Amino acid sequence: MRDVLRKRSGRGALAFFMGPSAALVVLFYFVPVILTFLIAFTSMGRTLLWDFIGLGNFARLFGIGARDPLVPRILVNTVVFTLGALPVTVIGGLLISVFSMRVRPGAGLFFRSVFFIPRALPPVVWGFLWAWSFEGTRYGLFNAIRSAVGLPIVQWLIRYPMIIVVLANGFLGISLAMLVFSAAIATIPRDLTRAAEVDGASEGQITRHIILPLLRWPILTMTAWHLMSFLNSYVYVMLITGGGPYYMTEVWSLYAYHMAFVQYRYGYGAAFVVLLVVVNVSLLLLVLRAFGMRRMLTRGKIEV
Amino acid sequence: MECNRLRRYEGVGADETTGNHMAGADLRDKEGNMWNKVLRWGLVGALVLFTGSVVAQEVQVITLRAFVIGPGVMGVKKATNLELAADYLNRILEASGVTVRVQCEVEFSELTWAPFADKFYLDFRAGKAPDIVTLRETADLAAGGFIVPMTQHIESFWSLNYYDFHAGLWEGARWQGEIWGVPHDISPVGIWYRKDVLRKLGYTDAQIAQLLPEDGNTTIETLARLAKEAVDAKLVEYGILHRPSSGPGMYATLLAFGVECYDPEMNTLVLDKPDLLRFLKWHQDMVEQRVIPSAPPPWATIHGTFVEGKTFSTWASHVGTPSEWMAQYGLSEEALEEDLGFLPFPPSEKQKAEGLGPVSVHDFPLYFVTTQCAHPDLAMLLIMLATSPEACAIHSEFTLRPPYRDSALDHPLIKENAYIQRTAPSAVVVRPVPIHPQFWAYMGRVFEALKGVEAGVVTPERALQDMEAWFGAEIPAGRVIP
Repeated sequence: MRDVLRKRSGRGALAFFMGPSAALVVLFYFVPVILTFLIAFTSMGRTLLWDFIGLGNFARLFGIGARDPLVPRILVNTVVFTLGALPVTVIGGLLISVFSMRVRPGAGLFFRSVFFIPRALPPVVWGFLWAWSFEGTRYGLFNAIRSAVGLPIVQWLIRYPMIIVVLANGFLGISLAMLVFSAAIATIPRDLTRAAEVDGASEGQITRHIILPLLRWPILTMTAWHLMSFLNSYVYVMLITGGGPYYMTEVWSLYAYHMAFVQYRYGYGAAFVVLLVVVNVSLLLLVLRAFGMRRMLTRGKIEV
Repeated sequence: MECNRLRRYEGVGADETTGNHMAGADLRDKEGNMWNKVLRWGLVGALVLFTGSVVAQEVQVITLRAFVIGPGVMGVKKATNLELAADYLNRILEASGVTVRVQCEVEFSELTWAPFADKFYLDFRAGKAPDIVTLRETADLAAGGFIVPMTQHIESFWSLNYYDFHAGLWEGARWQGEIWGVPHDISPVGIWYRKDVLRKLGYTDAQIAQLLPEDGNTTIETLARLAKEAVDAKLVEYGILHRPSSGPGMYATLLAFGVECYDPEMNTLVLDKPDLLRFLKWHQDMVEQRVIPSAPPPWATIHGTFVEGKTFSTWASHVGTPSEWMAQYGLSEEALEEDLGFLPFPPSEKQKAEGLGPVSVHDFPLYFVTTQCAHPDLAMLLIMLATSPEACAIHSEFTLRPPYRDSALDHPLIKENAYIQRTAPSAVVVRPVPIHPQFWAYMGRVFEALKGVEAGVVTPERALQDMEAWFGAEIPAGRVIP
């Protein structure tokens, strides 16, 4: 009897505490996802008519029958963009954390604060800052500097569009990675590094043989996090290059956006998003399996 | 149709009145000779008659809702003209003894087209669509059952109101044999250039008028040559700036190069490969000659540098843009009259030799009556009065855009307006943007190709090849000119 009551009260507490958040997740995540899945099987356009066309959108996307000639190019762009921005974020965040945690605390804090500024900016400001800095007229920041010293202006966004959007996204990601890595480094007992110093280890050796091995889990977490983040990212690309010039920076999620909200082909745009969700979930499962989710969640991974 | 509707409203009052008469007569027939009863029933009858007449006189007010878009504040007269029309309509109804009045509730939006259209579609799906709406995508609206055809209304009132609308406007209102809306705004795109720059190059006003006549009877190449002279002389920063996005101005340029994009007979899009290639190559050449920049600057730079005299010619504006330049960029009326010139897009030399004249384009909006309107005939009458010569002149005076109908030019409001009178002929050569659901998607691809070629990241031939692949996949019913 007591067990039953305890079980009942446990369920009640679970419903009480989990209910509201679960309802929100269902309402704002599962319902839109289900709707998006349904729309992906329609030819819905701006007039919002539900005309089901079966797998028509996916067939076009995969090049069966009337194929979309841009899809292969967008796929390559997405891979280049993701694999380009990922090391900028993870390695950049790691280097800054290691460096800033090994210098004087005040200087380190200042350094980390500077790299955290992008995260505090509204996305549109960050995007336009980059767009303005690399504008191809003498009104752009870098061209203004070049003009001031007598150098000709450079069409940055035409000559180096992918590098610029990779850096813009990568630098933004650094702030989060840096925060996580810095927090992780802070939990490493000083005894370990002190002992290494006493034994005559250099900064490089300490970093390589003590700090980095202990940061394995945060690095893997940040890698997984940003891998999916960059796959889904399109806002800064849209603000800086708009996907151009000539589709050179058109990535998967931006193309989905363009299809849905510029060309008003909601059905076709939804098909791209559905595929992205499938890729995301698959990647997530792969990463969790590779990391060992159970081990990850059972105890802290920093303390030694 | 409208007359029937009005008669139906008249009929309501007449029946009621007749009914009351009959009731009184029946009662009198049933009465005997007793005076008191006669008197009593006579009083009752008089009361019924009086009440009946009051009921018959009671005015029925019908509310019509309209969503009108600017975009921006410049389009506000499109909204106030509907209110003016409601006033006139009520006067006509009153004078005709009709006991119906129209109340027009207009919601004016300064939003851009896209969010405004989204709002309309969502409102419609929610069953809360307005009775009248101003939008552009006729094909989508008609095919989706959002609007009612107005052909019969236009034909009925042709000689009363619609007889002198510029002929090209109806082409932009017709789809699949029906007229779906009424034009009420026109801003022909064209070429603005700076006469003061040409004067600095040594040209006299007479030479300028000969080289770049206001009727557009010159060639694109002539204008480009003058732009290059201005750039080479370092008088300007930019020779020619076109739109930074796809739009009517780009379509007009395509037409000037003889690029066929649409087949009205077959109602299908056309990929005119030879002329499109020539169009792309010409732009590539202009970039190499530094007449056109390799990337179009943003709108603010286009407008700002032109008004400041740092750009020789802008292809990103229309005949009414000076009102915006005056309001936002400090253009003076004197500079407008003295230093700026406007002409429709002249044809390229090849096209001129083939007999093509100057061309202008406008993706003009229409007043539509929605299928959720309970009184479509009244809404159409309202639209008719909102496009009267007076209403047209009011809109024209406010926006500096040419009137969309001939007779408005003689209206006292704009008869003395030199700018409107001078630029009015541009409205006559306006061609509408094709009404095809995929037209703007097609233009979007053409514009991306143009930007890619100008940026030097793709050759004209490769861009055309990509375009053909897209065209074949997306518009299988389209026609390709090899």
